[in-house]
Parts: sequence; C-alpha cells; structure tokens
Amino acid sequence: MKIDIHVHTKKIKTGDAPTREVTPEKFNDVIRLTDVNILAITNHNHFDLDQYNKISELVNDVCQIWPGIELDVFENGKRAHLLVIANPKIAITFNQRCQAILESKNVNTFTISIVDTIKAFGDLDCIYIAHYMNKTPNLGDEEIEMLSTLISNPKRIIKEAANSISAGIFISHGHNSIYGSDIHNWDDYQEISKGLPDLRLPVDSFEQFCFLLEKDEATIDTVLNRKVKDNITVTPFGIAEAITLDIYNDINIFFGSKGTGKTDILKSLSEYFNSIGHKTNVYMSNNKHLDEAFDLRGTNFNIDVSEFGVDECTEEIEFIKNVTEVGITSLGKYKQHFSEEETNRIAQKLKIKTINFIDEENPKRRVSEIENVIKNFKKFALYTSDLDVEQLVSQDLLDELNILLEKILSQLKNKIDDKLVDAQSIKLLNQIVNIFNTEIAKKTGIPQKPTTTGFAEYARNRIRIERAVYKLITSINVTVDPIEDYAGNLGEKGDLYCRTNLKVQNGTFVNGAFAPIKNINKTPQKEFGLKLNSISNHIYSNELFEKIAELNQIEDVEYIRTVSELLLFNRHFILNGKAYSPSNGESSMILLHKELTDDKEIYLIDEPEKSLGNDYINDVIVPIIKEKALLGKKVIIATHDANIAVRTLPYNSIYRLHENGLYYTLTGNPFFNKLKCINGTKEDLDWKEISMKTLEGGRAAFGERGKIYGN
Amino acid sequence: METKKATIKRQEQQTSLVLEGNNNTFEIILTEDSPNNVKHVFNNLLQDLKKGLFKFELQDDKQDMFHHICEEYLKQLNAEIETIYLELEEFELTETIEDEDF
Repeated sequence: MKIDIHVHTKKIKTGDAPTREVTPEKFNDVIRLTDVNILAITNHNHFDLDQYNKISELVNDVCQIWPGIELDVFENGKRAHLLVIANPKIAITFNQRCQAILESKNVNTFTISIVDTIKAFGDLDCIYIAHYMNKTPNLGDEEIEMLSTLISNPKRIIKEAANSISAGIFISHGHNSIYGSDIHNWDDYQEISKGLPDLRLPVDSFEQFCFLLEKDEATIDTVLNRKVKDNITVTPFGIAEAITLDIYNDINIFFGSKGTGKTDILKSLSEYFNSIGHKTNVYMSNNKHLDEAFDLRGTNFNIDVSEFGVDECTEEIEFIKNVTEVGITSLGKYKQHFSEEETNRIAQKLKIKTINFIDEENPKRRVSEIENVIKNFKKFALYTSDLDVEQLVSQDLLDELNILLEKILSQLKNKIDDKLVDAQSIKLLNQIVNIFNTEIAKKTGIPQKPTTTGFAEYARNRIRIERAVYKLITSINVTVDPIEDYAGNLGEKGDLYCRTNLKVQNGTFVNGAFAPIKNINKTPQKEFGLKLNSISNHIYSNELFEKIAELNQIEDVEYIRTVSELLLFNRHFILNGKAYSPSNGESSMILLHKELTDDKEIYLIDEPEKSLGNDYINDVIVPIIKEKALLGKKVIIATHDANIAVRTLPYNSIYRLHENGLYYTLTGNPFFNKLKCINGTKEDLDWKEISMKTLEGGRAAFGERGKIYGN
Repeated sequence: METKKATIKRQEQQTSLVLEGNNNTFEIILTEDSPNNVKHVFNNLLQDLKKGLFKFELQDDKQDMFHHICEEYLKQLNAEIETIYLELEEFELTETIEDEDF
C-alpha cells in the first residue's frame, strides 16, 4: 500500500510543465498500474472540484483521493510551498475555502501568509505538509513553529522531504516526515510510484491516517486487531515462567541482549506449532554449510536412469550374464548316416524320411504376435466398460464401439486359428518325420539322418545376444542432461545453482570427480562397460562366450542388474555458468535465502544476520520477509540486527530484558512506539529508544527509514 | 536371391565343403568333427546374410559319400538361411547398402 501526498493534475502556473496535465481517464488508467492506494491532488494555488470528483469516482475502488492544494506561502520575507490536504468528506467546503482565497488572484503571483492560511482552513482539521530543508521552496523551522502554534493540533504538520533518505533522517530526529511524487510527467508515474512510501499499516480513511500521525494507541490496536494472530503460551523456562504472546500472521521480532533466551522461546514456539499439526523447525544460521544442505557428497542422492526415459535393460543384463552357446549338428552324424548303404526295401520306399524339418519358430512367432494384438483389444474392450468412460461417453457410441470391437476380435480369432493350425501342422509333421527316421534307424541299423544343420538355432542365439547387447550399449551411451537446482542469490555476483552431472559408465568414461550413485564401486562399473563393448565386437566370433565369461568374472558383477547401477554423478555449484565454491558467508546467505523462499506457513529464524553483510540483508532478505508478511505468513525472527528488527516495521516486537537477575518479556510495535511488559511487572519502555540501544546498527536503521511511512 | 557356389575339395588329408562367401570362401571340413570350424563358418555366413539373402548350389559331379552329405547338408542349410534372413529383416539387423551415385 503506497501513499502519494503530493500530486499535480494540471498545469496551473506558467512555469508548470504541460505534462503535469492529466485527464481523469488517463489518471484512472495510470493509477491502476500502481500500488498507490492514497493520493492527494495538490495543484499550485488551484483546486478543481469537478476534476476532483471525476477522478475520485473513476478510481474509488482502488485508491482514496484526498483534496488538497499547494499554496505559495509568503512569510518572513520569503516564499515557500505548503500543502494543505483536507478530509475528502468535506471536499465541497474545502473547495469553497480555496475559491475564497484565490478569487480574482493571479495564480502565478498569488501568495498567502501562514496566518491567513490558518484563517482559511484552520477549522477544517486539515493536514499541513511543508516543503522542508532540501525540498524547496521551503519553510524554515521558524515558520513551521509559527504554523504549529496557530493550529489546534500540531501533529497535523508533516515535513515534506525531497526523497526517502531525507525523510528517514528527519524521522530519526523525531520529525514527522513524508515525501510525494510531485509529478511532472504522467507518462513516468508508474515507474516513479515504485519509490513512494509504503504504508505499513493499512489506512482506510483520512481520519485513520490522522490518528496514526498521533500514534493513537486505540487506532493502532484496531488496525492491528484486523490482522490474524494467535495467542500462544509457551514455557521454555518452566511452568513458573509461562510466556503468553500474540503471534501475528506477519512479522514478529524477538530482540534483546545475548543470553536472554530468545532462541529457547523460538524452539518452544516451534514445539507448540508442531504439537498442533504444523511442521516447523527453527532455522539456525551457521548450523550447517551449503555443501551439506545440497548434499554435494550425494549421501542421500538416488536416481534411476528410467527417470530420464533410459531403458534399465534389466532383462538384457540378466540374459547376457546367463546366455550359453547353442550346439550345432555334428558333421559326423551326416557321415555316419551316409556311410551305410540302405538295403531295407521298405525303408527305401518310405519317402517321408526325405522330408526336411520345417522351421517351427516363425509360425510360433506369428501366433504370438496375434495373441498380443488380441490381448490389447480385449483390454481396450474392458476399458470401455469402465464407469468413468460410461459417464463421459454416450451409451449409443459405446454400443457402436462394442459391436466394432467384437467384429475385430472375431476376425483376429479367425486369423489366430489359421496360424495355430499352421504352427501345429509344422510341429506334427516334424514329429512324424522324426518318429519315422528314428524307427527306420532302429530297424535298419543305419544311424538317423540329421534333420537340421543347427545353423538356425545357432544364428538365433547370436541374434538374441546382438539385440540385447545393442540395446544395452544404446542405454549406457545415452547423454543425460545435468540437473540444476536453484540455490539462491549472491547479490551482485548473480544466481547460484547446484548442478548435478550424470553419466552412465560406458567403459570409456574417466573423471575422478564422479562417484557412483548406487552401492557399487567404480572399478566394476567401468569393467562392465569395457567387457560389454568387447562382447559387442565379438558377437559373430568364436570368442564370444569367452568374452561373456570375462564379464561374469568381474568382481561384484552380481550387483550390476540395471543400467542405473552404472550411473555416476558429480555435484557442484555454478555461478554464471562456471563452477564455484561459495565461501562460508555466501553459504549463510544462500541457506537463509533458501529457508525464506521455501513455501511455508510459519518461519522461525534465529539470528539470520550471522555472517551476512548489511547490503544482503537490506536488498535481499528484508524484501523477502516483507513479502512473506504480505502473504499472511507468520515470520518469527530472533535478531540483533536493526535492519531486520526496524526496517521491516514489525507488527509485533518482543523484547527480552535481563535486569537485576530477573528476565522480562515486553511486547509492542513501532506504530505506538511502546514496549509493554506482558505480566505488568515492568514499566513501559520506548520501542525506538530500546531498539536503537539494543540492536546493532540501530541508529543508522532509523536514519534511513523514510521509505516506510509508519512511525 | 543370390546363388552362391558350393564345391567339394577332396584332398588326400582332408575333404572340405567350400562355400563361396561375399569376400572370402569358407571351408567346412567334412573329414573331421570340429564344431568350432563349423561355428566359424556359421558366424561368417550370418554376417554375409545381413548384406542380403543367398543360397548355395552344389557344383560337384562325383557321386560319392561326400557328395551325398553335402547335398543333404546344403539342402538343410539353405532352408535355415532363408528362415534366419527373414528374422534378421524382422529385427532390422540387415545392413542396407546405400545406392552410390555414378
């Protein structure tokens, strides 16, 4: 939620840029592109009620428009600018007062004294924003003092700074200060609006803003009570010292000197959240290194090649390990048969013995192919009767499909019958020929004629081996893309990634930085690849089975059952595409970033600032913490760092104090600037004073807080 | 289908069936029972078969035992070669020779 208290919508003075002019329609378009929720129209010595009404009406669903004017004030011999902003409820009256002072005056030469200004607007309970110091033309302290004596509530005076840094410095010196866009060109407004002050507390109305200016506790409580919070009692120091706290779905900061038990309270809160079903833990800075968090050694890393679409080749590996040579028909058998002269007359007449064996494998495969097709159609037919399908597809269509499926199945059954008959006929014929040959051999004493040279079976075995080896070699030579996980941001250096390189050992890969993923050593992995390549080179050689025997002799080969067992990995960090070893400080940065960017409901963080530089906390960590708060997450942080404890403007500051041997818990917030003891045993403390005193970099943090308008 | 020549080499010490291969000739010794010799020939035949289907035709006019053995052996071998060629095709293990531009 952003606020802009100084906006021009018209070119009024001769010196005003024409680009200050904006139509209500363009204003509407531009404002919807920004996060600005409160805006005051403050043209030079001019108020246009019609334009104000049109703009208000157009944007009222996204932005409150407050009526205002930027007056040329002349006091103590010098000219200065003073913004007068009124409650939108009295825009008509405010317009009348403006017209009264401006009537028949030249806007370029118009000036008004402070006394007359208060005469004109004093009873309207306006906010007065004076150009101050480097925001020129400015009112001096004397003129502002004069203004404050003339109005009934001096807290309505705010000093307008030139920018957020100046505003922060003014605030740190106890002045209410703010800055606005003072827009010169509406084409730039969307970009400029990003630098406008954030309103940490949601402001519903002009009146509420006024109350917040006064740090009105009741108003602040009302606003805070809209925020979801849990009232939690924890006992980190025993039942006798129970601590009851409101924990907001926002930023909750524990601060206080070292040794006051902040970490113990965080741990107790974690236990409490876990006991009600959350899963939390306290993030402790420097507890572990990034290498450990990203498991660079791969202690818990496990992955299978199948996850990358690579075949595990389980059956192929098993087959290659166990395959044996197929025998061939001895030529001696032919010689034995043909060396005897057949004299038996009946045997001579039996022509069946001359029939050659017919190959049975081919017809068997044809049968098996059709069986597979039938199986898949049957599976599909079953699927069509699934309840989900029946709910989604009309019964007519399903009936039509079922008729078609039945026809297809019937046709396939006919085909398989034919193929079965073929296969069985061949089998029977071979059996008959064999029986005749056996019986003739028995009767005649002439050794049986071989029915096959053995080539077919021999070749089939080699083909099976070739196919298995080919598939396996394809799998082990696959290139697996590295896995890259975002580790975190190293500020100006860039984004850090954790890269896991994966390689399947194919027998030729040499890199000492890689380690096996599975429970197997590197040597057998490499040997396996080498032997497999050797087998591949000897598929059609008499040495093939020697090579297979060598593979089986590899130590621990029994543990290589899948291609995944040949996987190697190497994990390291990369920055801008190059290997990088983060320092301890960078390790802390990334771990904290990772902790905060993990999607959780509750973040419990102990001393996030440890080993981290201010720039990183300010530029990276604080914005993330604020974002989590906006998303309604509980962010509970114990810290000694003012950048975190102050710049985040926590809804809840919990201060732990050790004094005279006693421990106290005080809670408060920057908005009413108090810390109150939770059990009333200690007087209220000033949030700002304690923060500046206790936190590292406290004074500097207060000095640069202008970007957030809340205190 | 290519027809390749098969002959019988009769020598005093040994008799062999000589098969014409794509680049070499292969000898199956008929007078010894040497499975390794036959397997070596089978391996070579398989590699040749990947380049295209062929069959052997015996060119021998002597009607002795070796002639009968080889006649029967080649009859069976030719049938088996054809079967295996079909399987090589089915498993896409045949080697296609790309056409050359002349």
